[in-house]
Amino acid sequence: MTVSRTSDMSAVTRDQVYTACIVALIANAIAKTVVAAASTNLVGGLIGGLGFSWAFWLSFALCVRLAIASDPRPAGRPDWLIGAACILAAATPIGEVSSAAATGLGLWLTFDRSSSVRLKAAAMVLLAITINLLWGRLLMVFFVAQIAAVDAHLVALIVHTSAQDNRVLMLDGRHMSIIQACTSVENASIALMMFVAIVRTFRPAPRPLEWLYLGAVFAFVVALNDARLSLMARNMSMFELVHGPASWVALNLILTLAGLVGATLCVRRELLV
Amino acid sequence: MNSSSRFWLAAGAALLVSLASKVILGVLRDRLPEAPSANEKLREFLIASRVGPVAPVWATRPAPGIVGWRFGSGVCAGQAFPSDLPGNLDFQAQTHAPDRAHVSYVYRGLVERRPPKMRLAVDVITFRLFSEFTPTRAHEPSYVVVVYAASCSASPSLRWDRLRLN
Repeated sequence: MTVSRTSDMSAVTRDQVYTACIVALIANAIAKTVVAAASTNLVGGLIGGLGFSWAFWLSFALCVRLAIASDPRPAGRPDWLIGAACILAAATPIGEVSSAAATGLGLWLTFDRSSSVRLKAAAMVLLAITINLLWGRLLMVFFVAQIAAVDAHLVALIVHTSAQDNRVLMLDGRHMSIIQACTSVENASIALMMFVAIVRTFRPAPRPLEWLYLGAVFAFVVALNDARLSLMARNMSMFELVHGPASWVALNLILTLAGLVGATLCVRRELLV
Repeated sequence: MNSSSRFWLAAGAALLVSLASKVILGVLRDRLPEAPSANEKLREFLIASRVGPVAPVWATRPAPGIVGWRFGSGVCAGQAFPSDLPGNLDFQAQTHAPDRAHVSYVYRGLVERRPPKMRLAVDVITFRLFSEFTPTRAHEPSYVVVVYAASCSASPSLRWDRLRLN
């Protein structure tokens, strides 16, 4: 009986264990936000991405796709122990614990020498997702004022007015406050997550040149966001137009495209082969 | 059924149980009594402080509602706003403060010239970690932004140490 169970267990592969861990951790990390978005307005919530960007959902799907069939070796004792720890973290009622555990899992798989290239690629995408889910938000809790102030001063420079902290003097004499949701860093983290997901999907092993592309995508999103804020700083009618209900959908689309275009350029050789 | 299928079945069941428990916990928490909002506590404090008439400050963005309170009368009448989520950077107080107004921040009974960013950030993180286990639906820690006219030499003298927002 014992022998049979051991051989049964050994038939489960490492990629299966880690794919299950990734799905369980991310699903539990986002559960509360998804339920809240769906219960408020199901159709609107679905169109808007259930509280998350479309880039997030695509990255999550690509992460799972990379993890599946990435390492066919039988799962060993350490894999089962890590799997059990992940399920335990996913079961806690605090979503942030799941995100933190996903970071731990991502780091473990990235630096574990026995991980296959594809499993490491999945781990890197998982890390990019957790930056968007947890670490970026944590950074914002501490430094949102400074980050918003940088955007405010950039916008003031573009429209030739002045800024104080996170407030920009608009061209019509009013003031515009830049808050967390409007900052470039908040928006750039979404594009960067998608960039990592797409590049790792087509080229699992990283190359040093990718950092340049990553920097270019970041700079592009910051420029795009500051151009949007500068339009808003012209007058109230422009503010209403750019900040209107359709704005989030449009911005979501543009950020998704920015990550997509940057990633496509980065892996163009792999795509053309 | 082979071991691989059994594994996926078990993993799927574990995922379902963990997600269902979160949904059920969420529904149960929604039935718990909600703690009074920071805005309501602030109004009660201002009334108890006998600072004169206390009137609501209304805003239309991001949603219509009361965002703070006007208190006192004359040139030294003040306004007090509970801070919103940390990411909103006192948006409402900034919007309603007159030009060159004096602004001070009250957190845990202390009046300061700068917002208590770091202490609040630590308190917010602690709150988020433990809020699921509290007997009421509490609100995130917040401070009060006090605004008063530039022509007044000092902030309205109130016993801010008696204000318990969180």
